[in-house]
Amino acid sequence: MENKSLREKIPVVIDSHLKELMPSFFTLTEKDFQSLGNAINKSDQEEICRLAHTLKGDFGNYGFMELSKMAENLEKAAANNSSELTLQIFNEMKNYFSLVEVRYE
Amino acid sequence: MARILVIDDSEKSRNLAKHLLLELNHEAYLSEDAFSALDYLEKYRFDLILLDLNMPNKSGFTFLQELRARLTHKLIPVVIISGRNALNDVKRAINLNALSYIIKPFTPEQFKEKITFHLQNLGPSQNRFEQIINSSHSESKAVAHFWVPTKILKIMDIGVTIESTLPLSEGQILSLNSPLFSYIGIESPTFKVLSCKVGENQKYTLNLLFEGQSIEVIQKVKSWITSENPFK
Repeated sequence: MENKSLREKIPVVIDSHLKELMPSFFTLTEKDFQSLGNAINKSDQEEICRLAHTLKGDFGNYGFMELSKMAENLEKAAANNSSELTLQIFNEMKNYFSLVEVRYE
Repeated sequence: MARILVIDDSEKSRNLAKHLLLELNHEAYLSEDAFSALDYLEKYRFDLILLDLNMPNKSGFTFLQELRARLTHKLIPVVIISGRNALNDVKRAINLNALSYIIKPFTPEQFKEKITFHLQNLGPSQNRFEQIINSSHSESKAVAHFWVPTKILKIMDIGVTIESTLPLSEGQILSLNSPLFSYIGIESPTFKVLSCKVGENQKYTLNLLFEGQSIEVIQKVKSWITSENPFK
């Protein structure tokens, strides 16, 4: 997986129909990350899988395909009880999300 | 304009669905779980339900199964919207009479096209079916009996198809006497006319829905159809 630890912005092109939903999307995703972080701290595999699965769908539906893929990998890692990989993907996903710069088409 | 119930534990998904449905000029009601969805279903008649599968407490499958067991909700069109793409999940949904299965992710355009397509293709009979089923509060207080010989051609857990020499109007309430109901172990049920078509032999084929029957009666019919039917 591509390492996005550098602090350059990552442009993501989103359907302009969704522009007015973006503020709540970002707020709610931050909340999801908190819940996911809590589940990871508790090693609650079932909850990690559920949250990652939801994030996969949400990211994809809003057009954040790379993040959707990361969430899918996170779901798989959690399902395989790979706690180290789960945490690694989670951190990459958070980092990627923090660098996202939305552009509309 | 259709009234659509969106059931999804993700607020982002609900927001997105509502946004896109409003763009299509539909009315959207949002439920975060199966329990609040049932509240809505008690209060309103919906043209379509969009149902997520992965939800905490009660999964979409469990909800759909329970919905189909309720006479008043058994025919509400349900479209599954899920990130689960296993063939078994799709088959299970179809077996529970889901109208369609949309796999996430989708683009706004794909979503709108699919919803429009499904609403346009529900067909008038299905809409009518739903309206009739949902208006199960009407009661018959007939003071006279009008006997017409009929033949029961088909029995289902939602009603019967009969052949009659007399046409009846849609929505008309009637009761049927037949030894068939004794075999099943129920009293002569009350029906509401769903549709009436004239055949080539000047006889009429009528589809009748059970009206005001208890779940127990429906269960007896169902169980007779599936296991005890001696005419199979």
